[in-house]
Amino acid sequence: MGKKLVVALIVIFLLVMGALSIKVSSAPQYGLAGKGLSGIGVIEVNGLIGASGSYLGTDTSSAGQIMKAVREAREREDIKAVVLRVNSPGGAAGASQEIAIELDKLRDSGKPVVTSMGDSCASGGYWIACSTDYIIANGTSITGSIGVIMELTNLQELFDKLGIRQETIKSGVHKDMGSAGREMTEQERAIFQDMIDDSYQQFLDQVRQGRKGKITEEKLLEIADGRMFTGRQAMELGIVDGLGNYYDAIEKARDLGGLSSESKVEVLNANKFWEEIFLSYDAGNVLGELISPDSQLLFD
Amino acid sequence: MTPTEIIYGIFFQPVSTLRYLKKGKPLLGGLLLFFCVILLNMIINRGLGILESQKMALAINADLFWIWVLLGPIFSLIILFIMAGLSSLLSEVVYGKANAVGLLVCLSFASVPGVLGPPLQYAAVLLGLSGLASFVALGVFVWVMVLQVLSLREALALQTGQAIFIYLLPLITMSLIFMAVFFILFSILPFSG
Repeated sequence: MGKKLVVALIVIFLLVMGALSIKVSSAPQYGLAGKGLSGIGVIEVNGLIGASGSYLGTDTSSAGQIMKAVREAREREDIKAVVLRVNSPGGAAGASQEIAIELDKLRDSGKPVVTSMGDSCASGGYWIACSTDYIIANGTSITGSIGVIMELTNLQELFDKLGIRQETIKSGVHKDMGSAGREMTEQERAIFQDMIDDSYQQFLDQVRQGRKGKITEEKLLEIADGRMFTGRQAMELGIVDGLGNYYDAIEKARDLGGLSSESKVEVLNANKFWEEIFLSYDAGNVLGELISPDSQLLFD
Repeated sequence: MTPTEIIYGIFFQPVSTLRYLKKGKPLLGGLLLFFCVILLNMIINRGLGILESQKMALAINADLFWIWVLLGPIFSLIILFIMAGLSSLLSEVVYGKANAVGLLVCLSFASVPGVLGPPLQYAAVLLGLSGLASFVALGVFVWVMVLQVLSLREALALQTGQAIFIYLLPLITMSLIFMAVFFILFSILPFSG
């Protein structure tokens, strides 16, 4: 009886501690630091920005998840300012634009947003940074790359060598534009170029709006040719507002949000315990990627 | 012995329990228990990591946790098999006594007190006794190590000194190999200056 009681007590203790641990891991305060009721929300943007995140769950780059976090920051009354921590070389045009639109809504609600650049915040990453109030970069952060690119592969000669012939049945003359099985026509090239130019103009508009009064039109057109800059060069050009690290961005956000130096900092899009285990691998996304064309517009 | 008596015995009467396990060889139960110990430890260590991260004003980057959850128990089982097999082989070579399966069972059950380490650490952190948590972890580590030596002694029918020698032999061998590699590299590297 004594032995059973001892073993039962050990098992109960283990179960209680295990349950507490899982509760902490799943709690919404995951990634929370500091004190007080009001504070800063940190939203991480890591890796290539796209409609879906990485299959391995190793980055937080899914537009859907980021927008959800931005919306949460807007709706929660205890979040007074936001730091957008970007460590991304860019990504899909549509995904970047979607995030930027949501960030604009957040700023319209009266909450300041500060961008903190990590190793890189270029192209699509910089697009979303332009929808924030203040941009802080490290001196060696890679940024800029204002431009749009679409890369298509022509595998016709490889198909010929392998004896593969693609049969296409289409509803319109341009339905298979960008096909890897044949040479691109001049008309198709012109259509693609128009798309690129239009997306580029939208990118320029975004930078004009975001950096209004901080960079001249002439200077912007001169540097907006896809080139990249270090954080220090970007500072001299007016592409970013200040140099500093993540903690400097937190302090700036506290300053803009009128918060004390002890106010809490909460990561809004950190993965939760069960999400990390079960939702990192999304078979639906894999399937979607396999059947979708590879001709999306990229800011990278 | 019932499962309850075995678990109680591992904690409070390890020698007689290990002698029973050596003969009874409940391999499946042992491996299952070992797997549970590793899994529970990982879950609680995860909670501990998050509690610690909350003190640091930084998000912890734990996106690869699910890989850890999958691979952790598998690697732990592989290491357990290697440890049992290698120790049995060394014992056979040095002392002419081998019992790989019996040793595997004993080592599986010897890990059981290890299940208390992270929960006690977690409880200490929750109670604001973070300093005590390290001592608890060290204590449990030593406890499991002593049980592993006892497992070697009982499963392989060795003297205590012989069991300690077999337990440390892979470590000593690895250290000697590293030292030899270090001295060889050091002797062939050109001197700067």
